[in-house]
Amino acid sequence: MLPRDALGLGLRIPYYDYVFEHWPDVDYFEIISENFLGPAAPPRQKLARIRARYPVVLHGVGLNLLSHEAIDERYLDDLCRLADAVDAPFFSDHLCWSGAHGMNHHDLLPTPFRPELVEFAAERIAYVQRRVGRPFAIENLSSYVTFQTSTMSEWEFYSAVVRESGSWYMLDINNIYVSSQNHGFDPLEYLRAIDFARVQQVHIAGHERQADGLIIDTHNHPVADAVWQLYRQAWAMSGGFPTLMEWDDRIPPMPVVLAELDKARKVRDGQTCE
Amino acid sequence: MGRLVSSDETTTWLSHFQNEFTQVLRTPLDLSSGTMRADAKKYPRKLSQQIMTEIPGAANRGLSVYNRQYWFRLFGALQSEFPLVSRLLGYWRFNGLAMRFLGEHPPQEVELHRIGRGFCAWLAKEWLARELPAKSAIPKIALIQAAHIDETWSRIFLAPEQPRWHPSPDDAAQLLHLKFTPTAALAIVEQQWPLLALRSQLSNYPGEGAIPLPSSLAQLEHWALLRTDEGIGELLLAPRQARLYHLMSNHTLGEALATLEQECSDLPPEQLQRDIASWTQQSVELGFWAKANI
Repeated sequence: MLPRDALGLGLRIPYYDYVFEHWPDVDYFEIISENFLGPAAPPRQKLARIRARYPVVLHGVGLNLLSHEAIDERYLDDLCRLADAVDAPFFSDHLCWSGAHGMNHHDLLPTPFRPELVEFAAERIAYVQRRVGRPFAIENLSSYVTFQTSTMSEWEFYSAVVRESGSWYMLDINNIYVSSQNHGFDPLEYLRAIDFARVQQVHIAGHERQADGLIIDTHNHPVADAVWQLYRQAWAMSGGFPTLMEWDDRIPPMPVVLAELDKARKVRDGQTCE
Repeated sequence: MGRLVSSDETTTWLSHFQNEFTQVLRTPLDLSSGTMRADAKKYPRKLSQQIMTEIPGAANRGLSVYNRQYWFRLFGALQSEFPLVSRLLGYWRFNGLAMRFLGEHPPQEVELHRIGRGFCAWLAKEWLARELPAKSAIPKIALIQAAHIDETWSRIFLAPEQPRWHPSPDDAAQLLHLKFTPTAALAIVEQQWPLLALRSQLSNYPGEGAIPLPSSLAQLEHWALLRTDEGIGELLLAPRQARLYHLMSNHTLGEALATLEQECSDLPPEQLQRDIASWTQQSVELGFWAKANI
């Protein structure tokens, strides 16, 4: 496990030059698993250099856990190899589906929240965790629709899946905030349902509000003040958790991202993040 | 460890739900207004009716986000894979093409960078042959060469690591009988316009509009692209040098040399032999070959 106060950064291609020149003071990096699963040499070589200096955790977008289709065993083989190569303390993916009927949609897609889906998801997640042989953490989505066929709240569904699968939370605070605004629920009620002893990591990121009021999880801005506030509340409810900053679009120079990450330390200490 | 078996009822229900959601995602964006707009009228009604909303008529708002997000993520990925083609056409025109290609070839693999597999061939056969307007400012062959360069660049960048071939004493004795296999990190491309130079300068062209095609070169050029530890290197080849490497990749060295000598009967034999010796040595030193077998 990572230290409970660890601060990490989602590794993205524009950071490589800065990292290899400055070896910044970051506790760990998180990589997008799919970018390193294939045989391509350059990503592997860069990852090996990074891993020689930092712990690396894996974050996937392609396990397709809630798809009607079978889990892709070839993908799992590759994931096992990657996890072993970096000796990942844990790996994570999303509580969602990302493809169906032979297609891969390359997006994180929602489902209704129903008890029978808890059982379905828990069985698959437990299987993946056993197969990879490392702690498996599940991330909550941000979403833009909810379904009348749901019979549970998102936090009831999420917590039930984590509990019944014996897996872990990869709790995205920005996603909770985005969905709470889009669907009109209290984000603190969400946080109160979380067993923080089972949180492997927390994600923070920026978002964008559209003209019609809908919030989109864009990862292209600094973290919003309201999200920092929610982060502070989560920190106060917990015994600490590793925190990771994601920035995926309109990526600024790395020192700007590092300064944004450092705000997490200040927020936890009760300082303002100005 | 046993394989996973899940409840049939749940998978059946999910299959129906995900089929309808997939139809939403893959609904083509409407280009008629001059912007790429989601066309919610085409969404499956059954799914729209399941969406919770407190605002009448707003059920499709959230689905539209997913619909647009789906296409724009794929457009962005295809633009990254085909930077030359997308900038020569401009993003608007390129995205319209991309939507047609991806409509016919839905992404299936987990790696996003693979969505462009087959795009170059599709462009050449299915689209350029039929629909490029005769008055277009960009010759068809320039776009095909640009697409081929983009595709090749991506392929060699993502190629696996392979050992370099170095001749052993045994190899030297049977050199003419060896058949050479190029490393996956090598490719030879052709250009009638300075497309490789343009590709390296794309960051000088901000915005999304079409950029001008530079003037045609005096003659067709052949370039070797080779991935090294420092990136992708470019080496201008003499036409006969390119021909030699092509022949070496498909025949034994002896057959390749005999064919080239036949084709170059206009040259003094001594000069051709000097050139061949220099070109083969250069290819070995630069690491063009992964192996050589009898």
